[in-house]
Amino acid sequence: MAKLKSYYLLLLLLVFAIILSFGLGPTGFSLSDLTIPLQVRLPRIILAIFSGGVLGMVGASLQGLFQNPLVDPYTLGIASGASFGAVIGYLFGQIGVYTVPIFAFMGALMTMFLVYKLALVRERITKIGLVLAGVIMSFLFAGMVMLLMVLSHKPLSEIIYLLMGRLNIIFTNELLISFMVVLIISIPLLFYLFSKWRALNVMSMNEEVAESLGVDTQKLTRSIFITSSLLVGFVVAFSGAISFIGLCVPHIIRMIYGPDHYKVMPLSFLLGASLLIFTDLIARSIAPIELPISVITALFGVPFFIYLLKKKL
Amino acid sequence: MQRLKIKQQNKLIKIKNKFYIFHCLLIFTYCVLSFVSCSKSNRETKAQRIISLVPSVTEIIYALGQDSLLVGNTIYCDYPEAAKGVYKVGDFSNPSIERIVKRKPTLVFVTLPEQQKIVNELKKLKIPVFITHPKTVDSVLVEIENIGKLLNASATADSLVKSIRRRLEQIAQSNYNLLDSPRVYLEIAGTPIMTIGARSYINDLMRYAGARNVFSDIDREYIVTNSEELIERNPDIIIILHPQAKKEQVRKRLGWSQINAVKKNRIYDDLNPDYFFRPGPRFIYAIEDLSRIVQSVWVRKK
Repeated sequence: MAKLKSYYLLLLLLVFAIILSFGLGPTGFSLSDLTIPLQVRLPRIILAIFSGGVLGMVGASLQGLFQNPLVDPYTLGIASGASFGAVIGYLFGQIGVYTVPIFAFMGALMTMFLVYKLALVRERITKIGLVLAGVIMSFLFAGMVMLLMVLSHKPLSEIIYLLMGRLNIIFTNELLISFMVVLIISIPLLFYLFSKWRALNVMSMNEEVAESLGVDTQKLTRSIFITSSLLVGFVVAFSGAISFIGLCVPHIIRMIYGPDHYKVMPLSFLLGASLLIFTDLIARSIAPIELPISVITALFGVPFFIYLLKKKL
Repeated sequence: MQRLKIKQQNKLIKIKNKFYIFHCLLIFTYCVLSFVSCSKSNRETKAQRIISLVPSVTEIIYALGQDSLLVGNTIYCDYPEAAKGVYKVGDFSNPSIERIVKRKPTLVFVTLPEQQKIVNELKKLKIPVFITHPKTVDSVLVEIENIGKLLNASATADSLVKSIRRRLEQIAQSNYNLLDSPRVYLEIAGTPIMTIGARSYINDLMRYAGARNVFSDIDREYIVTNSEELIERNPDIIIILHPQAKKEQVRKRLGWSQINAVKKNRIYDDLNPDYFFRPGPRFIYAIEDLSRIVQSVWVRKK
């Protein structure tokens, strides 16, 4: 019963966020002409649901896997790899709407393989190896991005926004279709991630205990690492490195609903999605000037997080 | 006792003598050195050594024919062609203070707010700076005159300013034919879409060309905006000043088909961004190009 209630509460929050975001904007809202809400606001809302939800859920599963509260979706180096790819695409690629998303995703994939290879010691993946390799790759790619920015003679304001996270990507039909394809690929990935909830529950007690209970920790680590990297790669390609959501949403859920991954993962998706819709609404409502998303997630999310932390302690 | 005292005194005198010789030597070398440096600095005051950290100022210096004084510029200074060959002190936002000092400049041209840090450091080192940050077309012209005075090229500067003013006058006259000014959106970056507000000098530049900036009510230099805001503002002409989007892509952006400029196919992506972004002698081309577009598409008086 309690399980059901929590789902309904967060689902209601999400629906409320969607309706509010669909109805509000500088051009107003009237039922007779829905072109602007449908063509301009809806793609943005879907992007927010996708990005916020994926970041929340990936954050939850990675924190569970590594048993580390400081892990977030970018710990494994995906964001800096993606921004490096985006810079390369921006500097050397053909100019087009796809350039930045495609190169960013390739950068994410490349980082994923590098981190995986680095973490592989004597045919075994260790969790500490993955985290260290991810952090090292983050530093490496952040350094290379800076180097390219200095050498390129071009002020790359776009890349800075990509690093900060943004949802005001301008959709054309082609870009929207490619986004939909990504969305369709992501759904089975998310369900696959969710299907690991039982193993994650066991794993979050102790790795040795988990192995003695019959969990193949090697396989679990590998599959969660690859699935999350792909998902985060998709998110960064379209929305950039939005901070806070992936780190704090799982914590908020755990503080309220307990540490069971069966609840934490889907609820993190719902809360992450609604939170990002709300922050995006604020970001575009202080019109005509758009604020970077991460600024708002930090300003509103941190006090709430502190409140929960104090209450819990 | 007395003998001892005398001995000591003798010793002291000896030491003092040594000191005198040493001092004399010191003073002598100092005189020689200062003479050498004096003659050197005399030679240098005749020839100024200037560094330009601002691409537009580099263009002004070349237009005034005083480029022989230029001993350093930035990697963004790429016009005219010869400016590329000048000693580079760094990039626009992070020039190297050591490379600047190494060139022993007598004057450094800087702009604010991007170069505040370097200005502070130059002031600490007592290197004179000339701060440029024109907010209007008029102030660009005043600046050209001022730089002319500083570089002993007043006559060239005056004739340059005069010819620009003549061309501005011609455009102003052609603007009288227009019924009113079209509302123009000028995009300076693609993702996120960015434009300029009332504080930018480009806003003033558009006014001279007979156009009105759709974001001129916002008191800022740069504005990050979004699709919906722009659809609400509904510009008559769209100018794309960055390479990330072409005309066809702008037309395909979702929801933009409602914008007047898109409906009437008034999107332009082939203007030279440098004419707009650099408040130097070439800004007149930006006004002329924009004016040509306005004249060709906008309603005229009968």
